[in-house]
Amino acid sequence: MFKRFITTTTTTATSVSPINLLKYSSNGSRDLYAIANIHNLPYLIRKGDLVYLPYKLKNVKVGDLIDFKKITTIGSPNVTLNEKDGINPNLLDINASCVEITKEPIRVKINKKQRCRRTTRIYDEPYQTVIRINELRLK
Amino acid sequence: MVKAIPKVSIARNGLGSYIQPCYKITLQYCNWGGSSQGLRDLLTNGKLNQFALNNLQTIFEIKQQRGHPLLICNYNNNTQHEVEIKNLSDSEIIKKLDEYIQRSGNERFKYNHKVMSDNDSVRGIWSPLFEPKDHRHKI
Repeated sequence: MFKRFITTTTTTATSVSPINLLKYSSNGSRDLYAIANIHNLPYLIRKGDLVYLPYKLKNVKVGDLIDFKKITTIGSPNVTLNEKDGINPNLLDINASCVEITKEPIRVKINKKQRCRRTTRIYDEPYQTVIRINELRLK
Repeated sequence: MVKAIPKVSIARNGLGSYIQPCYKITLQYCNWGGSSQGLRDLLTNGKLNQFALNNLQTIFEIKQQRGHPLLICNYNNNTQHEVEIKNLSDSEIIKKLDEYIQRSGNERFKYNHKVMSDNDSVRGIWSPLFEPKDHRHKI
């Protein structure tokens, strides 16, 4: 595990491309993670993960494949590649499938005004979309 | 002799292929009661046929029984959801069908984190021994 410290230093010293280093250190894309942005929020994902989104994705049905527009980071235990404006999509293969569209459990808010016994109840059950990371590998 | 450790495979729907968890929906209606009027309209005007053609992975069963109309949704994890549809119009029933067909049958819950993962941590567990010897905290 001490190797990690050494390899990160060598990336700056030598001019090997980080994608090649990732290919060697990611155990055949098995030990790979990515940080993908969905509606501008970062999600650290690996292959097979479930992502719970607290809203309904527009124009998406259950079973659909979803592409990620912006991926800011890919990394393995030893090497990471960061790019602020998004990594070139030709370098990696990443998609997710929509698994479930449900609602969160109903929650009740009781509003009461002062000096008035009357209460009003507000019911809220927001939508929830669950997606599973279907593929995450380097091309 | 070395014996291999058997490992049970984890069911991860949506990884590779996706199977709709809602495999069967029973539409229960009454031939006499006024609360089943919407469902009776739905069965006669051909909207249900169109809906069933769009969802080929589920079976639609129609059952006549005295009382208020019901949708009984059967899911892959041996659960059943009963949905009351009394006094609803045909378009409202289609909305209910569309909502319940996209669920997985699990109990509704609010997940207060972004990602649910079965994988081990990518970067491993941190140890103070990863630090170089001269940078370590000395007691």
